[in-house]
Amino acid sequence: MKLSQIVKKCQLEKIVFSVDEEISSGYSGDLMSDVMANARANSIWITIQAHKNSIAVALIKDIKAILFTNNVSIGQEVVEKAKEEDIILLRTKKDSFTVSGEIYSMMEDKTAKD
Amino acid sequence: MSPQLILEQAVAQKINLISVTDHNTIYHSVLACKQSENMPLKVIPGVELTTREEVHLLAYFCNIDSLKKMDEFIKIKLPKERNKSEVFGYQLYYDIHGEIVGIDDVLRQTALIVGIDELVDFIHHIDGIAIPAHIDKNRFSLLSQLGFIDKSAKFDAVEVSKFMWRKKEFLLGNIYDGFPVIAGSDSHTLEDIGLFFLENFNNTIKDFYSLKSFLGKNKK
Repeated sequence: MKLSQIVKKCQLEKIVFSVDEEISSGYSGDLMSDVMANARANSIWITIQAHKNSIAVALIKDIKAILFTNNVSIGQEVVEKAKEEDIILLRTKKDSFTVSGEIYSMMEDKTAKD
Repeated sequence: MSPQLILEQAVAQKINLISVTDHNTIYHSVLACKQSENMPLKVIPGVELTTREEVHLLAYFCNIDSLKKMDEFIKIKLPKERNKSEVFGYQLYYDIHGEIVGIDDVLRQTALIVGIDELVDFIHHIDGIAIPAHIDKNRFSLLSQLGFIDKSAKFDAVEVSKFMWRKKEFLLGNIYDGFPVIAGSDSHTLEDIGLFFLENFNNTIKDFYSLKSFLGKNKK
């Protein structure tokens, strides 16, 4: 599924958005070590952890986009690092439970239709 | 930041007692202890561990053998992954002369697969002391990860950041939320060493045993 579809349907805020990427899965988690162990490549990562380490984790796991929840504030150094490393950053006012549910349904629907 | 340079800097700054606590590894802490034998300062064997909850926990020991037992436990509980040097930098091994002798390619910037209470119990089991690190910081701290300090936890003390230590004008012997409080310099470069230290009145704390006994006396 294209990220742009997710952004549109869930009304996500684009913070850093270079190229529209194809996403094959999602992961929801706030512990770096957990995400490093379990997230998959070409995924969207839903988290409240808006800091530079998150960019490092996304790089390691080849996560295409990070979606920050609860309208958390994102420091300028995080934005700069994401631009440097071509990681897409999105944000939403919604909490992780809600937005994960929405994205999950979208992806499940698509799988059902394919 | 080789152990040799750390010790020289500490001596130059007139510090009597230090501990070198690397993340999830003991190699240079052991070297620093050995190297300090002929120098006018004492080094307590130590390590900074990351629990499963991503809380940073300091562990101090009476001797190198105990620290090595801690390392055996670290080896079992560390996920078997390689370091990503392009993201975390190179983890270099130094010898006692400060020469680079190797690269540590184990991923250390991660959490051990053990919860904080079990880790504290293990540290006590091998006669060490367990102190959650920089509890006031907004990352990797007891408060950031667990929300509050469990008053029934078996910590020997809590460590606050040097900023909080100064702000609250803490002294050794003070209590914070039911636990004796200390602070570390959090030195990550040689220039940091000596900028922050704890006043050791009457030289009460000289080594691991006096530290343990001092903290034990002040526990509520």
